[in-house]
Amino acid sequence: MNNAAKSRILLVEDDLTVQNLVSTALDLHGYVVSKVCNGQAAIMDAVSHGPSLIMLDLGLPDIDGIEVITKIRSWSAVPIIVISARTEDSDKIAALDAGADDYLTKPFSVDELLARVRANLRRSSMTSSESTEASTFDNGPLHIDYAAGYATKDGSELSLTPTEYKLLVLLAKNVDKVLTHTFITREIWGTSWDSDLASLRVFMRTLRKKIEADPSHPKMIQTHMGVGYRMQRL
Amino acid sequence: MLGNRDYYTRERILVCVSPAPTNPRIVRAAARMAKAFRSELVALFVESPHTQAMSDNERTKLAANIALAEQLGAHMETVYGDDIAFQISEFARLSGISKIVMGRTGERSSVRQALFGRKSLVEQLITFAPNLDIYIIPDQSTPPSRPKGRRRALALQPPSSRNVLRTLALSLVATAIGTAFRHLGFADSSIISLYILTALLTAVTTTGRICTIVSSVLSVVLYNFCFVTPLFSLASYDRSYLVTFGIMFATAMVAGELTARIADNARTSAENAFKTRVLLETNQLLQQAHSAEECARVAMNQLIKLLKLDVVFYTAEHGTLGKALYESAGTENRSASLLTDYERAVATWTYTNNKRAGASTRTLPETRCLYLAVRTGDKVFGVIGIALEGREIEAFEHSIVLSIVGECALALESDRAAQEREEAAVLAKNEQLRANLLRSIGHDLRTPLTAISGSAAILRKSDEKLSLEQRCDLADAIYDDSLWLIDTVENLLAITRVEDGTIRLNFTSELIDEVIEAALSHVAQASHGHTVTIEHTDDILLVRIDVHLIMQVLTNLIMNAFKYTPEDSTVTISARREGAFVVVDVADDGPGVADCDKPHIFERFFTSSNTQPVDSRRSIGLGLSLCRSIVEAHGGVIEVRDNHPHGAVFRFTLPAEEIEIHE
Repeated sequence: MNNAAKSRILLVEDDLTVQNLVSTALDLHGYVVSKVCNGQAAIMDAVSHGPSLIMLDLGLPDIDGIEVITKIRSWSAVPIIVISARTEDSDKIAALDAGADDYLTKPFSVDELLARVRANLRRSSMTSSESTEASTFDNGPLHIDYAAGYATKDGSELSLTPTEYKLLVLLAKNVDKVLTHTFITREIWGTSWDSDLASLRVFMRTLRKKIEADPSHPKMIQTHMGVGYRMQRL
Repeated sequence: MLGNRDYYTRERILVCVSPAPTNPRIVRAAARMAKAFRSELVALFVESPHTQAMSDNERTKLAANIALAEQLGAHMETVYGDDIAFQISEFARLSGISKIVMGRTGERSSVRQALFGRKSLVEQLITFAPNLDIYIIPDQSTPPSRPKGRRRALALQPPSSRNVLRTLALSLVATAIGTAFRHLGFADSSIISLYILTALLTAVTTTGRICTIVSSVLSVVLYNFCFVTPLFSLASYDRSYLVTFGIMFATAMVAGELTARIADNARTSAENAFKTRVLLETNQLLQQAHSAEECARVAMNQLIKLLKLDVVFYTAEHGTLGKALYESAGTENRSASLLTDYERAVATWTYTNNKRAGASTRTLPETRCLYLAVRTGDKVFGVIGIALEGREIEAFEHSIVLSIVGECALALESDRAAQEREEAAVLAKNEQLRANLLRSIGHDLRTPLTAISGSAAILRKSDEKLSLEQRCDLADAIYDDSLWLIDTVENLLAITRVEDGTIRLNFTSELIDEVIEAALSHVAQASHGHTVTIEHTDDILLVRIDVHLIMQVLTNLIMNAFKYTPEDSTVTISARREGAFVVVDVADDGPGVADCDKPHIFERFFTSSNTQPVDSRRSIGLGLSLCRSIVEAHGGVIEVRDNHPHGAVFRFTLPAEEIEIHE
């Protein structure tokens, strides 16, 4: 928790009960929390204090949450976790496509909240410490050698189709980040039609069969229903 | 407007329309008078058997005069009958006419009127309706007696060759029979009667009066030629025969004339019967029509039957003209030339102005069709277009056309009213359901809310007095009840999405395995010692679904299995392909569903009295009814079966999607 103790989290939430709940939970786990209630204050705080992570509610009283993301993204790569009360996926997808890294849907559990915060902080510290152009990637039993263009599981080489390999690399390079369906299909096929989505489902299934320890209970690649996929660091 | 209440009846002025060239003057005079009296103007045309014999020139004039009357604000009416004066007076009496304006046309007494003691039209009118004010517009240039002139026109029509042959044949037959009579020694009177009978038969069997006259002349000539000494010459020795000839001619003429008139009346009544039948049929057919389009089709077909012209119908939808229907009178389909943008624009003008337009009218007459508004009062239900093809609609047809259109409007109005009633009923039913839902939920939410707020209050105020265990229990209660609330709220949100009907489902291609997996990870924490297994197949089961709703179905089914089976039970979820469907089973090995509950288990607000949930958590009977709504919205079915040896299987199907993989 030494690392976490230094982390400063900006919480943007206009509902005081939820604000209190989240800040208490984060506070209890050693994070420093600064709380603001609207978008303008959020941007000001992000500029002046440079938080390690931002938790942003999309329904703000003054400006649209998506706009806040776009503004912050114009100068900062700070991880942003969006909090949404809506069940509609379109909001989350819009936020993710605007540059958010992750999302939480109300009602969420405190455990889930802390897990997401940890994962996103870890990811940002990794990307800043290690070069993004690292030549290898390790996650649990999985090892990818980008330069040689192959992947192994528990030391034995995986026989992946070109599409499966591309998919695996895309997820690995964005580990701990939720990738939307649109983002993935654009990266892999250059288009994002319905038929591409069906293909993505099928390739994801075959890829999981090859890399997961138990394909029926996938751990490494998480499904975010209606939104996308995320590779989780094991 | 206030002033009108002081009078018992309003002034109504009647003007008679005819094809006479001076008629416009009379119509204008009547219109001026109506303006002066601030009264309503009614234009009347009396359709009689003679009007059918009008020349084309006269028809055009009549149409022009009718149009003029309408332009001057007159309300056009047509009545039928042989006796013009009687028809006018009856119409005037029935429709509360106070003044009649007429020209002097046809009012000069003729020799015939003097001879037969027939009164002039005005005199007859005075006799029939002594209370009417009659205004005569003097007129010098009018040709003599209208009815007489028309009759002459009819008589002067050249008879067809068939009629001529028939006339000659009848006369020859009469002569042959007469010769036979002469040889048998019958009296001359028999032969004379025979010739009169011939004239009569000619009048009955031929049209036009020329044949009757010819037959009468022929009778006299043939009788003179064949039977009067000297035979085979037109001379006669006995002067008394001249009288016989005269009487014979007169008798033949009068009998022929009377017979011809009977024939005319028969024709007119046959025509009227046809029109009445068309109208009656329209009425019956419209009553059988069940939709607005059927009503329109009936009206169109009846108009075609009457006019033998192509008909189009524009339905009115939300304040504008909607789709156009077309019916052809023949076999040729002219819809392309009749449903142009310009024609539609004129039809729209008719719709918005509630006035006729198009061919044969003064408004935008260069169209192919005459457009009539299908209306009741101010409400317009559509526009009927009749492709005139240069033809005029005759007065008698015109009123039938208006009747059919009117009937159609009434039918459409009642159809619309029925539709509105139905919508109101559906709305009321939905309101009822919503009210039930809110009542049920409001009631069911109270308990967990009480537990949450109560537990929280205790925790806040008496923290020190409580043991750690007690505090944990209270916190657990808050946690459990809030989870229950979360589930319920998810169900409610799903219900509004599925049953609102205004929100479209958000279909995407999903692997059913992934959906099952995601649903399971949602409910994992709620399993109280239950074992959950997923039976995988190697098939790739792709379905096109609204993933959140199907997750809700799975969540509800799994949660139900947890709820109604004892701890240590096993819940098995499996998916497989069966034909065009993906079948998903959620099976448990608990006590199963009682047979008496099975038919009702998917009904809303159904809660079983036989089975109590294991964790004694209440049920509000929403979950399974929601599952059914969602599955049916996806085009699948949901059912409950028995598991072997015991337990329940909830099975639902979803249409499978074919896989097309892009490398």
